[in-house]
Formats: sequence, C-alpha cells, structure tokens
Amino acid sequence: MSQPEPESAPRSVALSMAKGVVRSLPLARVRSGRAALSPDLVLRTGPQAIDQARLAAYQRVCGARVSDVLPPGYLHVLGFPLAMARMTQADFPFPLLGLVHVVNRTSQHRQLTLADRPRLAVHAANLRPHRSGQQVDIITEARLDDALVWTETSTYLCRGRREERRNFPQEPPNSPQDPPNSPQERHGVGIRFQVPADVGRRYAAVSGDRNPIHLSAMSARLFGFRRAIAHGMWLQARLLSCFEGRLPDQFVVECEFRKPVPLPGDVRLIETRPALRPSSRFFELQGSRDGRTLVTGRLEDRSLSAEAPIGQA
Amino acid sequence: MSNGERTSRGAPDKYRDLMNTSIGRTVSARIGLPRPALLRRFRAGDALLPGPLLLGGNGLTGLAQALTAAGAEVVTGEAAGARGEHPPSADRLGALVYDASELDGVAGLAAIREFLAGSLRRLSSSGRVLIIGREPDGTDHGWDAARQALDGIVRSLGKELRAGATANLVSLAGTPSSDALQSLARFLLSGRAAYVDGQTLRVAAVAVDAPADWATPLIGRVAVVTGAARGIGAAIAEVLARDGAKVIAADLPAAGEALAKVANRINGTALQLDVTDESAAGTLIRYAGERFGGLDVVVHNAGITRDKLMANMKAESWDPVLAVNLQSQVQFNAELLRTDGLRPGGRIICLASTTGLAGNRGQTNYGASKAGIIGMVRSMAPPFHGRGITINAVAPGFIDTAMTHRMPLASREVARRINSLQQAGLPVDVAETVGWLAWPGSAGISGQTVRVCGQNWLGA
Amino acid sequence: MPTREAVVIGGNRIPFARANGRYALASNQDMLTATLDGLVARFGLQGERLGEVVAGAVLKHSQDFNLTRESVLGSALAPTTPAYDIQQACGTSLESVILVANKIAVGQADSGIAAGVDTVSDAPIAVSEGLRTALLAANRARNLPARLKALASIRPSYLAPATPSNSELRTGLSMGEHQAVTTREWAITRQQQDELAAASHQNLAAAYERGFFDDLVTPFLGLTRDNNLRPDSTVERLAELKPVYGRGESEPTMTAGNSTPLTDGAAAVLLGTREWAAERRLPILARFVDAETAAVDYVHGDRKADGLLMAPVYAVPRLLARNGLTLQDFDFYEIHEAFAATVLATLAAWQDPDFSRDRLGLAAPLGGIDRSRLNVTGSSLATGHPFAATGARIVATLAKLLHDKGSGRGLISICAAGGQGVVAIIEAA
Repeated sequence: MSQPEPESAPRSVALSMAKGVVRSLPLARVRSGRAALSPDLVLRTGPQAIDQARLAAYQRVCGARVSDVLPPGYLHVLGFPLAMARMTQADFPFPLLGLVHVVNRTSQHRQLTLADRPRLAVHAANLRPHRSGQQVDIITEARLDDALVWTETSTYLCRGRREERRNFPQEPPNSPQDPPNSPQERHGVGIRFQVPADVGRRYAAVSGDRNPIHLSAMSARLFGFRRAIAHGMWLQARLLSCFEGRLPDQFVVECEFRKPVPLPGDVRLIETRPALRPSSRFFELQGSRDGRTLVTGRLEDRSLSAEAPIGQA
Repeated sequence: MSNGERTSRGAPDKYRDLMNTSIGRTVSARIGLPRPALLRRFRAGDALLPGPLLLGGNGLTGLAQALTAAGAEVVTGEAAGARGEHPPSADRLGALVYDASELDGVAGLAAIREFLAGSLRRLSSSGRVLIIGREPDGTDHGWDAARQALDGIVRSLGKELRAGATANLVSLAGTPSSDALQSLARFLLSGRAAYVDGQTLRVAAVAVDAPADWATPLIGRVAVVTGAARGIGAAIAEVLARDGAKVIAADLPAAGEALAKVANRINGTALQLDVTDESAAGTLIRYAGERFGGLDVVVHNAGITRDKLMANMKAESWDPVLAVNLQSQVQFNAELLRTDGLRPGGRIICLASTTGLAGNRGQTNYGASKAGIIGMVRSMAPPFHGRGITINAVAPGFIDTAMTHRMPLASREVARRINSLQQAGLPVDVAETVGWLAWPGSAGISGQTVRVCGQNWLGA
Repeated sequence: MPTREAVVIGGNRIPFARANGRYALASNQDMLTATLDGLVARFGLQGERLGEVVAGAVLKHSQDFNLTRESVLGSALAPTTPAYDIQQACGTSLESVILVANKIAVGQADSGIAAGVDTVSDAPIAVSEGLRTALLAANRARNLPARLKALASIRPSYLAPATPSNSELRTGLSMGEHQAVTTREWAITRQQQDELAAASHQNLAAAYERGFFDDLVTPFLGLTRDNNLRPDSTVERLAELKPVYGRGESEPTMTAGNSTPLTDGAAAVLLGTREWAAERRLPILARFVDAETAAVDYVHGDRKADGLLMAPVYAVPRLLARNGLTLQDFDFYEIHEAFAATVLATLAAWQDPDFSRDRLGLAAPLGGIDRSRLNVTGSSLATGHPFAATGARIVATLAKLLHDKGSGRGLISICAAGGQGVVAIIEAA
C-alpha cells in the first residue's frame, strides 16, 4: 500500500489557476470547440490523508456538523486541484475564467470518514453544444482500494457568441426533471437561510477555489457581475446540511445552478416529494424576497432500505 | 446617636444635627435658639435607663421591685440623701418616678413639688419623669381635684424639660399587678417611649400574663399590620417582629414589591389585600387561621390623605379618605367582634392622628376620619373587653416619613419644632408604642388614644 | 418505588412587561430574584432550605450559566438551597414543574420551586462569528506572532454585533412565519383569532379586577399589572390591525393583536409534599397528576400536521390515554396562546377525524371542548409571554382556579420552539 499523500498544497491550485487566468486572456484564448477533448486523459492522486483542521473549517463554512464524517462536497474540494489541472491542459477547449458551473451531480456509494484515504481521479468528457454555448463535464471519482465510493459530474458552460446561441435548436434536459404527470406535494414549511457576505472568501479559503467572481464585488465586476456570487458547491453543501441526520449513506444529489446567487443573500429551500417516488426529494432554492428560482435539485436515497426508485435517474 | 435615627427614611433633620455640634451648641446657647436633643431610642441589650431611678412617694406595693425587675437601678430619696449624694452629683438620674397613688388631697401635691424641684436638675438627657396617680372616681371631691392636678403637672413639666427628657402620668383605676407595672416601666422609661411626652395613660387593674421572656413579649402572637409596605407601617411590622410576633404584612396589591421586602426582612409573610374590600376582614381572619392557627394583633395602619379646604372639597377627595381611614376599620373591627376573629388576649391598635384631636387646615376629611377612630376605639372597648381584647388608638404627631419629606421646607421646619422635644418623631417611635400596646402587660389599657407627638402644641 | 403526591402550594410572578419597556434595564437574574423573593414573602420561607430550585431562561447570557443558583443566593431563601438551570424554550418552567414534582414523587425532595424567566430587552448580544473565531484562535495561539496573525485576520465587518433572533435555527423562519403556514393549512380565520384574543384580554382584565391575582403577582419596578393588557380590547378594534405574518399569502390573518408580543418577566411555583406543606401550615392548591412531552418534525414534516407549534396536539392524547381520561373530563383548559391561531389549530386538530386517525392513531377524534372553560383568566395574548416564565404562570393560575372551585381537573398545554410540546394535568387537592 502506498504512503498516503498529504492534501494538495494550495500552491498547486494557485499555479493551475494562474495558468488558467493567463489562458483566459483574450490573446491566449483558445477558440471554443476547436480542440479535440481527450476523454482518456485521467489525472490521479495517490491515497489522500484528510486534514482534520481543514475538514472542520469546511464543515463550519458549509453549516455541517464538525465531525469525522466527510460531507459529500468535501471530496469535490479534495479533487479540485486535479480538476483545475485538467481544465488547464492543452486539449481543454475553454478558458478557465468565465466557465460557469451549471450542474453538479454527486453520487455517494459509501460514507467516508476522516480515517479513510481516498484516491482521486479526474477526467473531462461529454463536450456538447448548449443553447448558450458549449458544455463539458468534469468527472471526479474517489476510490478506496479499488472500490468506487464517490462520483461527481460537474457540468460547466462556456457561453458562446450570440450567433452560436441563436442557431441552437433546443435545450437538452440538464435539470432533474420530474417524472411526467407525477403528482408533487410541497413538503414542509421551507427552510430559510442566509448567504453571508463573506462566504465567498471563506469558502475560497477552505476549498482553494479562488475564482474572483466569488471573492468581492470589485473582482466580480471584472467578469460582468455586479456583486460577488456564491460558489455553487457551497450552495450545494449548505443546502445538504439542511438534511442533517437524514442523509442516507448512499445517495445521489443533483443541483442545477439556474441563476447566480449574489452575496449577501437570503434564500429559501422549498422541498417537494413526488407521491409516487418516496425515495426522491425534489428541492428548489429561491430568493426569499423575490421568489426567483436559483437552484433546483433532487436528492435520491440509494440506500438498500430505500424504496426502489421508479425508472433510472 | 441611636440606630433608629440613622436608618430613618424621613427627611434628615439638619437643624437638629447642627445644633448638636459644638459650635451649634455654643451659638444656640448664646442667642437662645431651640436646641433639639438627640433622643434616646431603644436598642436591644441597652440598659433601661441612662442612670439610677429616683423613686419618691409611696402606696403601691411592689413598685420598687417591679421597677428593679424592669432593669432600673432604684434609689429612694432617703437612700440618696443618706449617701450624701444629694444635691448635686455627677451621678445623673435616669428617671424620677413619683408614686402618688395615695394622694389624698391638694396638700399632698406639695410633696411632689419637693421631690421634683429637688432632683430635676440631676435628670440626665432623655431622662424620664413619671408620676403614678389614680383615676378621679368621684369617691372624694378633694381627692379627685388632686388627682386631676397631676395631669397639669406633667403637661407643664413636659414643656419645661430639656435635652430629650419627657414627663408622663399613669392614672390607675384599681391596683395593677407587679407584672403590669413592670410592663409599663419597660415602655415608658425606656427609649421606646422617646417621643411620648406630656401624656396621661389610664390603666385599669386587669390580670396580665408576664411574658416568658421580656425581650420577646409577643412571642407566639400572630399580628397583622395593614399598610405595612412602607413608612410607619413597615416600622410597626419590624418592631412587632423584633418583639417576637409572627407578622402578616398586608398592603395593597400595588405596593407588593416593597411589601415583600418588608416581609422578608422580618421573616413574616406578605399579604396583598385591599382593606376597603368588604371581604378583607374575612379574608384576613381566614388567612391567619389557616396559616398560623389564629390571630392576636390587628394594627390598622393603612391610611390616605386627600387634602383640600372644605370650600373646595369634592366627593372624590372626601369619600376615599373616610372609606379607607375609617369605614374600613369600623367594618373590619365589627367583623372581628361578630366572628370572634381574635384569640383571647387579642389587641386592636388603630392609627389615629393628632389631626383627629386638634384639627388641621385643609384636612377636614382626614381629621374626621382620625377623630372617628378615636371615637370608635372608645366605643368598641367595652364589647371587646369581655373577650379579653383591648382596642386602642395611637395618634402620631409630626413624624418624619417619605410623605413629610415632600412638604415645603418652611412648613416642615415649623411643624418639626412646635412640640416640647422640638423635633419630629420617627416611624419607629409610633411603632414602639403600637408594639407596647400589643404586649400582654398592656391588658389594662383599652379604649384610649395614646399620642406619640413629643407633646405637640396642637391638640392638648 | 412508592410514589408520593406532589402538590402545588402557590405561585408568584412579577407583572409581565412588553419588551424594551419597564424592565428594559432588568436582567434575568434581577427578575428571577425578585420573583423568588416575592414567593418567599408570600409563604414566609425566609431562611428555609428547600429541596431544590429549578428554573431557566431561553435567552441567557453566557455569564448566567448558573442563573438559578445565583438567584437563590441573592434571595431570602437559605443559601443552602441547591438549584439548577434547564431550558425547553416556552415549555421551560412547565418542565421545571415536572422535574420538581417528579423528584418529590419519588422521594428525592420534599419541596422545591420551579420557575422561569426571560428578557428580550436585556438579551445577550454576541460578537460576530468571524470575530469570535479570530479571538478564539488568538487565545489558542502559543506565541506572540501566532497571536498577532490570528488577530490580523479580524476585519472591520466582524465588529458588528450578532443579535439573537427568535427564528428557528433550522428553518430560519420566525415562529410567526411557521404559525402562518399552520394557520392557513388548518383554515383558521381572522375572525376566530380576533375573538380569542379579545376574550384573553377581557378575561385577564376581569381577573385582575376581582383581585384574582392579588396572591399570584408581586409588582416589580413599579409595574403592578401586565402592561400588555388592553382591558378595552374588542374584536372590532382588533379587526383594524394589519397582518404581520404570512404577508406573502393571499389572505394573511395574523396581526400584532392576535399574536403574543415579545415580553420580559418571571414566574415561580412552590411545590411540596402534603406533609411538608402541612408542617408549615401552607395551603395546598392542587396536586400534580401527570405530564407528557411530544415533538414534531417541523423541518421536513407535513405542512399541516407537523407545524412548529403543533406538538401538544400529539402529547395530549398520549397523556389522556395513560390517565384513562377524555378531553372533555376537564374543568379548565389552559392552552398557551403563542398565537391565537395556535390554540385554534390545536383545537381543530383534535376535532379532525382524518388527522386523528392518520396521525394520532385514534378511531375517533378527541372532540371539542367547552370554550367557556378555556383560559378563563386570560393567557399569553393578554399577559404577554416571557418564554421560560409562561409555564409557571399557568401552573400557579390553574392551581388557584382549581382551589377556588374546590374540585376539578385542569389541562395545561404549552407549545415550544423546536417543534416541542409540554402538557400536564393537575387536579384540585
């Protein structure tokens, strides 16, 4: 068994990011869609030791209990340096900055703890057109020994030019759709929480994702946002913490980030449960004041005790 | 200086304090300003008197023993003369007591002159002059004239005495027991009676029970004090508790905050009660019965003022004063009579006022209520007597309280000085008198109004 | 273990004051001490060593970790009386009563005081999370450079204080917003709510007028009656108020008039065995019979059945079943008026056949109650509601009602934050 590696030093992330920023500059910009994305290029780590202090800091920022259980999003953070590295490889068709995280689908097959030493692997796939440009999936997998314990597919959008958007025939279904004609019931009173003004910086500090659009209004303005916006993965982690004590060991969570959530924010999580699929919970994150839909998603129980889902998600 | 004055909640008597500095004494002596004394007040453990008691006259058997038992160092004229200490002596006399119980005519008064004239200069500050005579009873016109003359002696003498000394007359009907005499002495000679001056107390010969311990004469007694949240009522509650009573401190519900503090200070209980309620007496009697097994002492202290000149007097100023101060007491006492609400040996003490005796401008309503109380106790004494219960009134003169503190300075200063002691009394002075009336030894006093006024010039 | 009867001897509270009013400068300890002293004065317990004093506050400063014991030390009780703090939100002091009564029942104590206090005016204000984290890190640092580094992380924005809110932590919704959902789900009308609120004020005012509270309340800081009381409250006047909760809904019904205001105050109950009371010639107002607690999943549960303040709905049938009673076997019902709609939704649920079958497992609903027996001397809508004090207020009030009546049985139902409910039965003794 190989010696576990320490978690990636922030410096390696910074290097990738610096590289990404340089490549994002107009002169260096690779024209979208021209390069051939290699699905076989897989970046891997050895077994990763978990730093308890960093884990605790992550748990705090995301509203999770400080404990030895790894929240599903923490493996995203562990894999983030690899993902950054992958997205700054020569074959990657898009500039790093300006990519928008639109969908995240995370499957947890086993609950990981502080004592586990997962190995991570990242590859890119499914380059495809989208109404607003092009999309690509960054897929991260975590294994213990040879067993796949966790998989994540992050879909990123690179906005295309206006003529490209206009010519696109139809929107492929990104969002977790309800089964047609499934009676849905709004469930519970709804959970309201604050998206703090400094959460972009705080999440950046624990995740290493220092995308300027999250850090401050000033840095976000450079990229066309009036205010800094929340990290999608923070939103996912934060709303998962609303299910504290109710997350099974095996589950799938899927989030579509519909609209940026400006900082600070005040949001509300609305839950619905389709009567015919009790193992699924659909949710929607709305602005508390305007009711705008910000995130939609689904949480599905994949544990053995859960009722069998109807159809394949 | 006594504790009582320090803890008084009334206005500080700056004038009295100034006149008791060395400069103040010198100045006042030169230009003849009144110089109010710092009165001797009771503290547990103090000697009964600041010096020996000179006893004159004769007739009452056991008087000397009773006085000795009360804590006095009794000397007689002969003994003092034989020791060659007369006159004058560094040994100041704490009290001059003259037994005039066998006074049989006007000529006999000369002996009293002789006794007093020869020893008054030796009377210490806050000393006591006490004459014990007999009630005029019509047996003999000469006797009666002489007996009534005693009253004139103490009233005039009270105005002559200085430095906090007082003069009082005890007028006996029948021959009291030694315990009754001792009880009288423990009150009148001690600091408890500091502000009782120029008064005549009528004492009937009634069997009295000596308390097991004279320091706590009210032990085993259950007392209720109305209006106990503050001022005179709070002081009464404290004195009754100090004397051993279990005290129910009662006051209006709105006064409950202060009331609870009083109750907790004296290990009593707080009872929030409006005495003007028709059910108040029943509530209280039942409460005392359930909680303490009975009721022995009721002190009607609750009272209000709504001063107005009669020409401007409206019903809203008149009616509540009469209702709270008088009607509630009449009702309450009638209920006590009707239901046998007090245990045998019980005591009812009603707070009247010198206003009820002398009147006061702007206080026709208050004066009526307080004079009414005086009439009520006189009227109710006989029916209660059969049950071994006494009912008396205590009429305070000008007492320093939070209420008098609000008076204009000039009126307050005048009111303070127009009495023989040239100062206002303290709530504790009233309380001590109330407490003494509640003692078992006071069984011979009923239907009377005892003034605690420093011999106020108003109201005889 | 043989059990003994715990009896209610009496109670005391200070008048309740609307927040930031008369008691703005009084702390929890000030109010609790005054309340204990009033109780001591009422029953002549000066210097008495009681079995224990159990009390609590919902909003509590960290320095007040030993609030009850500190209050006992400052009171006229014997300093040898032990004490401890508890907290179960609005159920706190009813839970204190249960704890003291249980200790008495099993013989671990002969007497005790159960109490509760709360101040919204003197609520703790915390430093921001950022400042707190930085200060704790600086405190942990072993040397000066590490300490300076930790302190250097403090940003100006951290200096803004974090004020407490009465929102549920897990849902971020205020109690009123929660109740607004329940109110709509149970179709409680504005008219019904305003009628209940007006009755509460009128009942409380009448009780004060006839001296009912003379031996239950001791004035504090010059306040002699609950200053939220509006004796002239009527349905017509209440109808003029604008809704404050559920404003996003089409027809919001909850107003400041049919909702309980934030309030400061304290209340206490004296309990003991019959023997303990008899030895001191103390009155016995009522006997404590039984209690039950329940909780609902207000976070993820059903919008209608699992409302935040609906837990008593579940606790009461369990309590009735255990005691072989029906809902109609009571002479008095004291249902805490967190909101008028809370009481009405609770009563509606007990009459709903579907709900009773599906959620309470009852073949038939518990049924309705005689509304003339409900909160007969007013409740929280009129008195106000200092969270932890309400249970003790109700126990003392109900015990006196039963004593005055001379017989009978009363039901207490209190909803609490966190989706909890505390209910109890007491009987005339």
